[in-house]
Order: sequence, then C-alpha cells, then structure tokens
Amino acid sequence: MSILGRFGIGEQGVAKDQDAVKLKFRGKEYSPEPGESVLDTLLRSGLDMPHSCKAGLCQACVMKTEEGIVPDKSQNGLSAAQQSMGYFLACQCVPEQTISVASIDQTNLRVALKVKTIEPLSESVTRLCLEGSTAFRAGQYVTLWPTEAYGRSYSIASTPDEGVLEFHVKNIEGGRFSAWLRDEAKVGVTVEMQGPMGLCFYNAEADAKLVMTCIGTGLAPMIGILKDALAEGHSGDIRLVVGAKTEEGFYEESFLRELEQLHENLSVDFLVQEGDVGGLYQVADIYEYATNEIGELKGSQIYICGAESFVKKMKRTVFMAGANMQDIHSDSFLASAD
Amino acid sequence: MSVYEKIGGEAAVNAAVDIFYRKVLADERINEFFDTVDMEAQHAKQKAFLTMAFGGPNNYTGKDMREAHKHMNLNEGHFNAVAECLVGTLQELSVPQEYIDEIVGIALSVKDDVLNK
Repeated sequence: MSILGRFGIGEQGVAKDQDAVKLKFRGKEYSPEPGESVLDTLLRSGLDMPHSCKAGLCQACVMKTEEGIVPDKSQNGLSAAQQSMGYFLACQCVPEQTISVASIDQTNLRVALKVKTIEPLSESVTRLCLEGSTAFRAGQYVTLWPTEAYGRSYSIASTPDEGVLEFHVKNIEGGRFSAWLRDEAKVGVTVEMQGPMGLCFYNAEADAKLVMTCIGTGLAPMIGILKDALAEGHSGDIRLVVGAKTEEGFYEESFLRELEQLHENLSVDFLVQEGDVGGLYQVADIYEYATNEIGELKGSQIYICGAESFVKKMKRTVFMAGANMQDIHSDSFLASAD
Repeated sequence: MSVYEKIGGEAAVNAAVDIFYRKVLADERINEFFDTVDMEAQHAKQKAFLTMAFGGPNNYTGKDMREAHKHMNLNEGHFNAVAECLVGTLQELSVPQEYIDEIVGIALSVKDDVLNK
C-alpha cells in the first residue's frame, strides 16, 4: 500500500490515473467511480452480490483477489490465514490499482447449526439459541445465514461451556431476519453461521475494574462477557450500566438482579431517560452517569455495545473522562444497509 | 541518541497519545478537525504524529503533510493550538524542558507544509 494510504490520505485524494483502475470479475471488466468500493461497483452494474452492513463488520461481502493488491483497510478483521489467501471485504475495498477478483465459496466459511430454542425475552426481543460447540469467546459476533440470500450479524450472549450460541434478536419492522425468525424458524431448523468475529470479549486481569455499558440488544454481548468473567473468577469490581428510553426497553432483569445477589463484586444499574423518579429505575442521562457516577475510569476495562450513535458517543465520553483508549472495547450494532 | 530514544521510545508515545488526544478534543480552537473521524483511526494518526514529533521512525514526507492538511485551510492559530496541546502533554508527563524544546523544534520544522505555505 502507498505511503499516502498509510496515513489515510488515499481516502481523500483520488488516484491520478483513476481511469486506468479497472475491476475484473467473472471475465468482465468494470470501471469503478472515484472512491467507489468493489461492492458498490458490482451492485451498480446490476449484480446481486451478498452483503449486509457495508461497514466492514459482518463479512458477508468477503471476496478474494486473484490479481493485484487490495488496500490493507479492506482486510481488517480477517484472520492472518484469510488475508494471506487474498480474502478481502468488498464493501471496504476502494481499489488503487487494477484488480481481478473472485467470489469465494462462502460455504467453506460457514458451519450449519440447529435451532435449539426460540423464546421471547420481551415484546421486542427474542432469544435464539443454536446448538453448537464452535470455538468462540462470549461477546464476539457471528453472521447468521438463514438462506443463501442474506446474512445478519448478532453478538453471542453465551459461553462455550453452555453448549449453545445464544443471540438476542431485536424484532425489526420489515426486517428479513425478524420475519424468518417469526414465520419460519423452529426447533431443529438449520442456520449457517459464519465467524466468530470481533474483539469485544473478556480479556482482563482478574482484579481489574470492569465497566460495561449498553442499550437495547447491546445487552447480549455484555451478558456473555459477564458470565465469562464470573466463570473465570473475576474478583475486581464489575459495574454494568444498562440504558433504555423507558422501562419497557429492558429485558433479562431478573436474571441480572439474581446474578447481582450472588456476586458481591457485581452491581447492575438500570437507567431510563423517561420515568418516575423514585421508582425501580434511575432516571438519568447515561453519558453523564458514566462520567460522574461510576468512579475512576482510568485503568478500568470498558465495554460498550449497542446502536452506533450510542457507542460513538459513549466511547468519546469515557475516553474524555480518563479511560485509556486501549482499554475501551466496543461493538456497534448497525442495521443492515439494505 | 534521538530525543525519541532519550524519553523512552514507543512507551513514551503510548503514554502521551491518550493525553494529547484528550487535550486536542477538548480544545475549541481545533477539535472540529478531529471530531468527525473514527476514534481508533484518529488515535492511530496521533500516535504516528507523536512518533514523528519525538524524532522517532516515521514515513512522513513534506508532501504527505501538505497534501493531508491542504483542504483544511489552517492558519497559525490552529498550528499553535496543536503545539500548545503537545507541550502541555509533555509537561504533564514531566519531560525535561530541554527535550520539550527539541520536540517543539521538530514540530516547527513541518509547519510550512502543514499550513501549505
């Protein structure tokens, strides 16, 4: 990759010989527009390429380069082995030179798992458990493919010794996965799973202070990481702060309250934006709470999961309040781009 | 020995980058330039910048600095604000004044490129 590219300058600048940069795929040649990703070039040409988040996270768009070099950025998140085979993420790849690419037989990247449990956790969230003993860390995420046509990413709320991969699926109006879960999924049905991916998992010293904060189904990886930490005998303080607009937004409360009873070093706070003061839940702004109500952040391991806007703002909030950048672990949940 | 080696090399950069980045984000004169970008990516750029400013190994050329900053229409005030954040960071880390002076000297050497003069 060019020196300019290493400092992100390639993202702003345009290759002087843009006209000479071609994309070759399945025997045809395409001309990417300046700044256009491989995925967008092919979609624009009418091809039905698999993809989902368009943010370099779900890996649904993974392809392989057969000739030419792809920018480093387009290989972020792939394993060393995958990178050495020329795998890259089509949504993140803005070619700087002519490249020839190919689809990968994605079935090699997936494993078939059976549905074990489907049950409501609240009016808007469903627990989905798949039977499996794949290697993973609680808090990582996978991309699930109910059919070849589409994949969606979910974080793992269980630990490997539970024998299942547990997911918390938010019911999204008009969502393809939500529709499948509601209308077609049942115990015994098979789903293809790609992954695990992601770096948001328990990897702290046993006496470190852990601060975990989430909204919505961002609670799923937090529960996974919490179970993992406690199973490993984590002795440091663990503070879990769960935010929601109103009390209807919470789920798994009794589970968390029970866990709190069992573990002296765990404390769980449920914060609502709107509600009755003096009720079961604290009415507070979660960012202000993180800054002022949970003590020293410097030296703490911080975990943040939920919608993208929340994660961005919370990352900045805890960083400015003293947390070290390398101690902040997060996963943003993005709605599918289509 | 370069000032980079004298103050502790990569460990010094790691100690400095979070402090420096916080100061820059809190500084109204310049935080708009650092606000919109993905924090991890920005953090990596700060690390690269500090490595260079400390006289450490880097791949920057004058042309890179110029190209990267050209579209931002920066002025002396912006440059001075960043320099102030840098000095403040070094003072917080109790870096001896003579090393601070050397580092400021290196930062000044790229001023014309950064301001596209």
